[in-house]
Amino acid sequence: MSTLDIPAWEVLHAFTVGDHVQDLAWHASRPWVAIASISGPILVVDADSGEAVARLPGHEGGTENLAWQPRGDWLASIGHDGHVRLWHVETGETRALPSGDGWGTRVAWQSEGKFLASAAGRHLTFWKPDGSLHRAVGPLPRGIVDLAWKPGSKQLAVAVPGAIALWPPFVEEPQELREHSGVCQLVTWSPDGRFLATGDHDRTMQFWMPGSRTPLQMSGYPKKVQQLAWDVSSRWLATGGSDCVTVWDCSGAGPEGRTPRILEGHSKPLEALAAQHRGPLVASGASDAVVMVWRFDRGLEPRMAVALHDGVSALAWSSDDRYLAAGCVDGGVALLSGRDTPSS
Amino acid sequence: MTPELDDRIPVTVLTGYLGSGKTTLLNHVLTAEHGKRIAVIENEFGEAGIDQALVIGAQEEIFEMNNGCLCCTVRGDLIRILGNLLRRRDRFDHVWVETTGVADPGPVVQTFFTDAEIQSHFRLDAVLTVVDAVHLEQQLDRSPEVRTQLAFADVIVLNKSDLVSPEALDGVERTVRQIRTGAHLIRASRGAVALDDVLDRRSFELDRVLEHLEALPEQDAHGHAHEAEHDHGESCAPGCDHDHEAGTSRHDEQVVSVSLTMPGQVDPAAFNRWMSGLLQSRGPDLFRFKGLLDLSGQARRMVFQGVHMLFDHAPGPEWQPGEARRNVLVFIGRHLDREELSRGFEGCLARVPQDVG
Repeated sequence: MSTLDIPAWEVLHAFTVGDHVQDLAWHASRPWVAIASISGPILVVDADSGEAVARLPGHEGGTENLAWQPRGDWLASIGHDGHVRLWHVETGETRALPSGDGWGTRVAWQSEGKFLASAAGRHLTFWKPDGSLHRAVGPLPRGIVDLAWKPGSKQLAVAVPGAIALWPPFVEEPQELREHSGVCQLVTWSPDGRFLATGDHDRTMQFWMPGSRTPLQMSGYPKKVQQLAWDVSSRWLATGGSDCVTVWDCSGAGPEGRTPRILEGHSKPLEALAAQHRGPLVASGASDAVVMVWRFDRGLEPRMAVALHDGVSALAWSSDDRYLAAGCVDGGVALLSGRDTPSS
Repeated sequence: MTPELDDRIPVTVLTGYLGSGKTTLLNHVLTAEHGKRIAVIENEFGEAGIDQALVIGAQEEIFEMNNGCLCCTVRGDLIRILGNLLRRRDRFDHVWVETTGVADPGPVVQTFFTDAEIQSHFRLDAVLTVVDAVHLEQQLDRSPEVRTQLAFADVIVLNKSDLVSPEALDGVERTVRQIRTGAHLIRASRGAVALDDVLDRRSFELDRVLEHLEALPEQDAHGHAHEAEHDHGESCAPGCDHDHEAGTSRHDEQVVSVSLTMPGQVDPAAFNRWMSGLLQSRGPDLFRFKGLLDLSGQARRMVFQGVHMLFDHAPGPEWQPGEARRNVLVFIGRHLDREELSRGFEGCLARVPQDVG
């Protein structure tokens, strides 16, 4: 397939943060995108103007993950300096919270913003929105691989090698522990909170269905599945683990026994997948430096594509889908317009 | 991938009991390599005092690969850290992975051969084990981990050699060679080693494996390599012929090297069957193994090496006319029975030798 046949997507703004783009996160209501480079600094850009709004020092040794408060203006970040940091862009105020381990990896806000959870090594910590400590759990017997709050709930899914724990902030022990063979790399809830999907080290991905103690395993991926993206209706899950986007239909009884839709177009392995928050599209980015956008529900061809300067490392849609931010391994960032994408 | 074109980042695994002088050795090497960009991944309770490299503290996370094999384990924390190092703008010239004093090097080594991303960007150069020459004998009595670390080593540094008499040092060296035949063994004091002895060893490259195997001395009928002079006193190996006290099962737990050398052409199918069976039944006990074979019907040598159940092989140079052909196999591990291994391998020899070329 030639990329000449696919409508080209114009880049609205392009700039560089100097080093591998480790994470991208959009403010919940403003057109602000925070960009973390692997070496530490965090840049906040206003997508309407393309101008920098703030240059934050980030974490010495490297920044790993970003998360904006769902209602409010605090940006949470975690990295290799042993701290979770909260940044208020307008006032310049910042807070440092001890994460429990030098190498912090994840921060996640509960969907209504009532809690912030952080993962650093074997330490799990729950914080209140003002940054005060709610509960520190740890050290756990294994290192935490990923965190994901169940949408609309106070259950936090905590993934460690061999198990996923469901942990509300009020208790010392997890409420539920689902053990499984294998080691998951990332965990994500469907937007309706019914399914948990994980991408695993052994080149499989697993669906945890409601009420089931054992997961449904999908194998056959050529590489580790490190990208998962649910569509807003919770019907479709786009997965990485190869050059293609593999889309599972989870309607009715779920994806068991079904053949997934395979979306071919990239010439190198996927590195990022991002679903629109409201619309029907999913964006894919790969080591081939190309960003493509596809419909979740039908079709085998990409709807739009753009070639950037280097391999894509991160993708994120703004909360109103007006923008897609794409970060690259050389530090390049491209802001693309969501309005350009076809709606059918 | 040919060695000259292999531009992956070299990694050295550094192991040794607490107090053996690992940090001193590392600092010595870092000073000598001044100007290079080096990362040291050490256990979270690592000894302080490394300042000429990027030092990252890691909390060991070992998990089993999902293939039902208990010995197929990898260091998940290393996979994460190495992935991060890879993404940084400035390329590292070398990475050291320092393990704790009681660590099993197996999972670390296997990480470099089983994770696709790691394998494509990093090259495991050697396992370097530092030994405290003054205290080794006591340490061997007290901790099985010391033997395991020696078994995995490509390079063994007998450190503090200046603090031990020449006779005692010879004794330590003999002890070490019985556990680990064929390692590159150097004597040092205060960790002062020559860079050539510890860097760019390429120990896991098959042509280097071949060089080492061809240099091993011939075995006598007694079955022990000449390089390990012994008196059948305190130290012995399975298959030795002196009396044991009843119930000396401690004997079996010991890690030893078994070397086999014999002429004869090998039936490839029989060898495959025997080797597969051995790996499946004895995988966890086989720490490292390597060999060079005269395969029936092949003009070229076959070279192989492995760790636990991981097996890597490739054709080597052609046998030259008039060259004495022999098979050489080295197994390093636990519960190894020389007789059993020797019989097993003899069973792989072809009935009818085939001439090729």
